[in-house]
Amino acid sequence: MEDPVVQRREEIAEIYEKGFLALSAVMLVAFLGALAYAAFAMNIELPSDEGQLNPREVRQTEPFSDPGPGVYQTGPNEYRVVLMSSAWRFNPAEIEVPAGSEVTFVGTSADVLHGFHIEGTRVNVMMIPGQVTKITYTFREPGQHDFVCHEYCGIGHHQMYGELTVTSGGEG
Amino acid sequence: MNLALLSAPYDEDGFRSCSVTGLKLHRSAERPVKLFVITAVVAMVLGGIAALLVALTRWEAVGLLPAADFYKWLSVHAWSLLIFWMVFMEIAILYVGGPMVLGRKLPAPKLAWTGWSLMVGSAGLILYAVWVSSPPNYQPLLTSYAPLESHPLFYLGAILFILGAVVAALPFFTSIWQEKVENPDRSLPLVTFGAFMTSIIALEALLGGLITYVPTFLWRIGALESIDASWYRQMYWTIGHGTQQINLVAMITVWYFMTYVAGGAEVISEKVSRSAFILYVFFINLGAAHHILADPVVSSGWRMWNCSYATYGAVLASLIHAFSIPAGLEVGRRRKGLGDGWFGWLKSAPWSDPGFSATTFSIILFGFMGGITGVLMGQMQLNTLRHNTFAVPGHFHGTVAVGTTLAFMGFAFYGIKLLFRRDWVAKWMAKAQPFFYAGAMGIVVLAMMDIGIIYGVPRRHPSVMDLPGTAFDFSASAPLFGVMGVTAVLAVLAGAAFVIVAVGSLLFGEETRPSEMLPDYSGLETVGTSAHLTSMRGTAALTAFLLFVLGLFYAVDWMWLARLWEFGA
Ligand code: HEM
Ligand SMILES: [Cu+2]
Ligand SMILES: [Cu+2]
Repeated sequence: MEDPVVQRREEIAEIYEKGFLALSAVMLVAFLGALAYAAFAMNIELPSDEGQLNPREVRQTEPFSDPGPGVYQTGPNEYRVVLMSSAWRFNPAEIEVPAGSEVTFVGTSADVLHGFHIEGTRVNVMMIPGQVTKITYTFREPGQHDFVCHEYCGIGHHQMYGELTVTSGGEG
Repeated sequence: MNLALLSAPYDEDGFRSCSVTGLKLHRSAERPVKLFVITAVVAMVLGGIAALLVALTRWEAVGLLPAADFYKWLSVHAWSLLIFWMVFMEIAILYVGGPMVLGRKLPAPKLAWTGWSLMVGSAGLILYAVWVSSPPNYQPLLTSYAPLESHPLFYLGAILFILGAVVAALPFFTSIWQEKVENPDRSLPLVTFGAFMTSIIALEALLGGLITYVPTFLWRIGALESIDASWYRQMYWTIGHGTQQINLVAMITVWYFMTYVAGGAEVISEKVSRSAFILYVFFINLGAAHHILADPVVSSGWRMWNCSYATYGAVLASLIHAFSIPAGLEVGRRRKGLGDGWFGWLKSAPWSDPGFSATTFSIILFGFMGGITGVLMGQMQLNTLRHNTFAVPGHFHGTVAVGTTLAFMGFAFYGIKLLFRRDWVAKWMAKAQPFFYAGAMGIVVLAMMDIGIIYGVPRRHPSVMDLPGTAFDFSASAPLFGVMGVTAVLAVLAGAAFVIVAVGSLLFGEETRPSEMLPDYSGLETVGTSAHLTSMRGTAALTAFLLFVLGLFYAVDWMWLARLWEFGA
């Protein structure tokens, strides 16, 4: 009943299509595998949820009230940075840690969206009013990293940045 | 100058038939299509001027604009091109894909005019708001992330624009409905089906847009006390990404249409192509989650669901089209005796026809640039490498600026002949334009991606070379910015060439007779069923190469990430 040409064409198309789809599917399954392996076996963490707070009362809420923005040593090779972003500055804007230290950043925004990206590292997260962002990174080599606000936050957006210095002081 | 009315080709009912496409066109559909296309081109002029200013600012060796003006022109650029140029074209595509392909009148043409007026008025409102904004009204850019406050008229404009687009889409829906009532047993042609899927995704997106912008507007004028930043972000991306899916599906519909008229393609399997369109409807909104992968509030499980299962549902749909469109072209041409061997069908193709070359470049560049980087960025861990760097505009210029825009340019080249019945002026320019634009913009895109991923340079940032008081800056990326700057100027010139040909043809083009319009494949129909005539090996090789490149970059990205993550350190 069908036009034989159409039928023949569809048969052939099917062979090719099946092959291509199989190849695509294998690939996407492999991608899924990579994702799962990274998440579960290697324990790669993305910026995690440290809870919510009332954005109008950031400065009265721990840890942003107490101990407040700053760099704190929490263990032999461990530091905690309480980071407050607001238009248009990071507090603290200068961070210094010894090489080999594991640094946990806990941050939020006091007003609008901001972004936090430490160049040359995988620390690349959003700072959102009402949300607390946490991310941990180990700085092994002494050196300097800039961090810039990478989410447009108004007319002073491009003036919002800071610097992280890894000193050779601490023996990791 | 040729402003006289064309000879009247319409019959008493207002229909005329187009000898190239075989479509029966009704006057009532033709006029709104013309109006929407012309409006889209006007938006493109404005967006193109903005592109030049923005690109010459980011190329800091030139450093054209101060920061405040940079943000202003970036807003103009994003809204004029991503929203106005695209959406006006898409409404035109709905009218072509619906009433025209079905050979029907446009129902309720008044709604088309109303929708158009609303859209033009609100576009004006948005641009006005951008123009007069100064602190405490900040530039919205594309995303207007609350609680950063933009001009109240901006939000109002966005709401009205959405309503206008919905009104303008109504005649399309009505025509589909009429068709279904009158011919319940006839299935919609593939192009109409694609347009229909586009419109469903559009409705979802526009609804999301209203849910986003109405409360935001109320908050901005003080009727609501506060607005939650992460709620806005999540809600915004239902329209922000939803509209990109409209662009995608509309572009794919154009690909099917153009490879058929300009290249002599066939549809190799209706069923498979249709299923792929349906996959989009189901998965695309979930996939939109990739915009908030760097946000703290979302859980790992949620990230994984959205960025694996859901995203890959949509990616699979794209891969199906990536195969079936070139395969349709290959088989169609082989069976007409146009090419042999592996790639003869491509070699013999009408490369000097800008409708064909624009479409083909759109397919290739979209796949290799926009598509591949999209899959990489949508992967939750790899996202870290690119999030909010210059690689992000690299990715979406790969999708919308070379992919969709080029496809729409090809479509407009044909529209000039098929709808306006004008010959192209400056034919050499028309022929060269797609090569020129695809080449220049392709390099812009590559440069953007490299600047972002290699140097971590942020997007939306007018001055990264000089960060006073710090020891570190991004100056190592300056040479690549130079490459981007120069090619951006060329790309804007190529865009201007498109506008010159389009507007010039409308004003000064000679009237064409249907017979001399465009390639005519109808005389070439040969009936062949031998395996050799229906072989798809050329396409198989090309698409296997696409998958190979995707796999390669996936691996490279993981190695790059592993270095940052210090696996095993
Ligand atoms: C000649 C062609 C074009 C050039 C040279 C160009 C250049 C640029 C540049 C330099 C940026 C700024 C990136 C940043 O600093 O973050 C940008 C942003 C953008 N462009 Fe283009 N572009 C072109 C065409 C297009 C087209 C055709 C579209 C859409 C259809 C488009 C949509 C956008 C969008 C949505 C943004 C982002 C705005 C935002 O961050 O809110 N561009 N473009
Ligand atoms: Cu900021
Ligand atoms: Cu910022």
